[in-house]
Amino acid sequence: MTKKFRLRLFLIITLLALSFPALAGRTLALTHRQREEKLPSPTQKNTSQTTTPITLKRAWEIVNAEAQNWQRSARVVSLHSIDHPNDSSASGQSGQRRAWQAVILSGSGAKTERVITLVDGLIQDDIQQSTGSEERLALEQPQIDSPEALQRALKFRPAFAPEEGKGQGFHFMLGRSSDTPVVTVRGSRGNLPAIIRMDASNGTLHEAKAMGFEAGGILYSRDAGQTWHASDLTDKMIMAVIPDPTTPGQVYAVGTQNQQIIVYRTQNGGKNWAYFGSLPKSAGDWPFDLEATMDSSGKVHLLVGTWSGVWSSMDGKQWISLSGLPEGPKQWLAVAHSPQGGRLFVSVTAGEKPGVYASEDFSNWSQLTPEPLRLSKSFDAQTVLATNEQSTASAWLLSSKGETQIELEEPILRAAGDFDSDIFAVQSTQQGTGYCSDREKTWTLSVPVASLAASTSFSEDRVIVAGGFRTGIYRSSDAGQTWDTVLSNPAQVVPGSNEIYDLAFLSGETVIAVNGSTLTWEDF
Amino acid sequence: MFEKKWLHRLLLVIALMLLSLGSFTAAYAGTYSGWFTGYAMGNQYGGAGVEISQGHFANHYVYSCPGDPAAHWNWGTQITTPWIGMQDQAGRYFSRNLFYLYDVGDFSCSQGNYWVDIYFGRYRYSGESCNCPGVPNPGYCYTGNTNSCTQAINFGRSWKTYSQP
Repeated sequence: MTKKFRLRLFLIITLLALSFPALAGRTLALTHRQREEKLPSPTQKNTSQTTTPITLKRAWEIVNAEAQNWQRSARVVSLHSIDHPNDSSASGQSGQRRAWQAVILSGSGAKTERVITLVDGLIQDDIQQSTGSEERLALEQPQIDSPEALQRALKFRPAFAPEEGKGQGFHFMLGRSSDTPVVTVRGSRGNLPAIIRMDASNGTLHEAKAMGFEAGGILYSRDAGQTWHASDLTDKMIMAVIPDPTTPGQVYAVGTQNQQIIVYRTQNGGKNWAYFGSLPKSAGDWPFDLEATMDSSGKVHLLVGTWSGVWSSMDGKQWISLSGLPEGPKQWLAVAHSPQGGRLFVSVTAGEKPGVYASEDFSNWSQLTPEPLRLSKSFDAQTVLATNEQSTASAWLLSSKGETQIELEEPILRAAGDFDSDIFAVQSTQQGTGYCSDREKTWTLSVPVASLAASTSFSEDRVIVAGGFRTGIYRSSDAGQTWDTVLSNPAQVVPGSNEIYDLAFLSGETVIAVNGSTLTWEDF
Repeated sequence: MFEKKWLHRLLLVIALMLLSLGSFTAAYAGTYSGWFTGYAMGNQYGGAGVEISQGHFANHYVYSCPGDPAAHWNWGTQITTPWIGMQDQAGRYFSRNLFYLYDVGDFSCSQGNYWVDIYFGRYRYSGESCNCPGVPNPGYCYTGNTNSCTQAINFGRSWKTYSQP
């Protein structure tokens, strides 16, 4: 062999090695697709402009035939429609869908599964992977097909609507519920998914459920986060809390219940709560965030960020939607206070004009950044740190006087402490939670964290509380250099998910924590 | 001379094979990085109304976390991750790197964009509770030769890169 030949051979082998993973996967997929059968050739893709949506029964026939061709004892254990890129909220109205996904398990003691995707009645994707053995019963052909199932579902629950979210339109599933074969139609109730299940043999209603929440609520501490107690606001989906800027011991909480946004208030530092007011139906049913600010006359305005706008009220009864902001979710709010009044910052995280907007009078807005940023407040609520969780390039220090662009070494999710003096605890997007000063940065808390808050006396006591994500509550008395686990299982105090959605210090001693709710399916 | 012809033919064959990959090369078009956590037990059905099982994952819901681009991914979205080990009902270890989106979580959006919550199963030893952090307790469980919640907790939280077709 000549030297040139050896070099060329080396380049070819390198090229082959680089493309091997994709080639191997493709070969594996093709192996299962090229079989003789009476169905249309599974390797054909529908290249014409016509679409061929199919029903649940037809989808079952196709995948069941594929299972029998593969192995005699193979069985279909999962079958449901999925979205095609061209689908919309109008899809599925006829009981037919273009795209379906099924799982076939190999014979008894199954260790191999095939995930098959059908588009227009043809197998478009077929991926095989090892799986654990588990008892998954075969799904037999349903007697009720998807068009009839949809008609029955709409009769059972007239408020049942197409889905617009992670799914588009009406979707159909074949499965089991308590060992009974069922056909399920998925749509929505309000803005959350809803499902109507019926007996696959005769169409009788099995259950109608909508996504909801259970458990969750508020805990409070009277010793700066060292010990925690249950409030009487429990079994509620609370998203955020905010202290009243003028009245000690008074705090507001916002949540969602029965498809409405509700505000609660405590006047004794978090122990006892009462209903304060509800937002109008036009505000929607999801509160992202809550703030409170004082105007120049000393009146307090509550602010709730929603999909429909930022809603403001002074009494919980009369609410107005602030004008001047672009369309889109007002996901994060923060107020930088001053004796003359507060400056409100709103992070619009989607839509045609996302970004951070600022206003002193709630009607005239200036766009500070064209990208949405997370907002963290300083211990004295006079400074706001606005950060891009995926980039260090865009970070701002915001106050009632103005804004300064700053440089960070890490992308930041949240921070708490004294931003003006450069001493604070920070949760990096990638590294964890730790201590930051102008001289050093160390990562000191590796558990997943969901919230951070600094004591209102932080400049003296350096106390920070970190709310965990399915872990516990942690406390530092040195601005995040070291941590103590003060509550390893918040659900033992207030049942919930142990995802601490929000924290707020009312004073150097009193702290409020929100234990998030868990997802459930409630009767519809 | 013979060597040159042979090399050219080999190159042509390889080029044709690469061209035929088509959609498979596109399978790695989107690459993302985010926190990975684990959960187990809990509801029988996830946010999509499908029975949640090993091979499924949860991420943010578009209605509660609109700022996360991954929250807009549809049900059934497939991702390819680093290999993740888990135990089946019989307690046997296996690994998988393909997961399908059929559930939602973290409604306060605390874990950042592109967060992935891997489902570890609903198995528990006979006599054990069907409880696990982050999900309704008691949940829906099967008896087996392992505890899926223990596996989920031991998985912890780690920053990983993954891809989506």
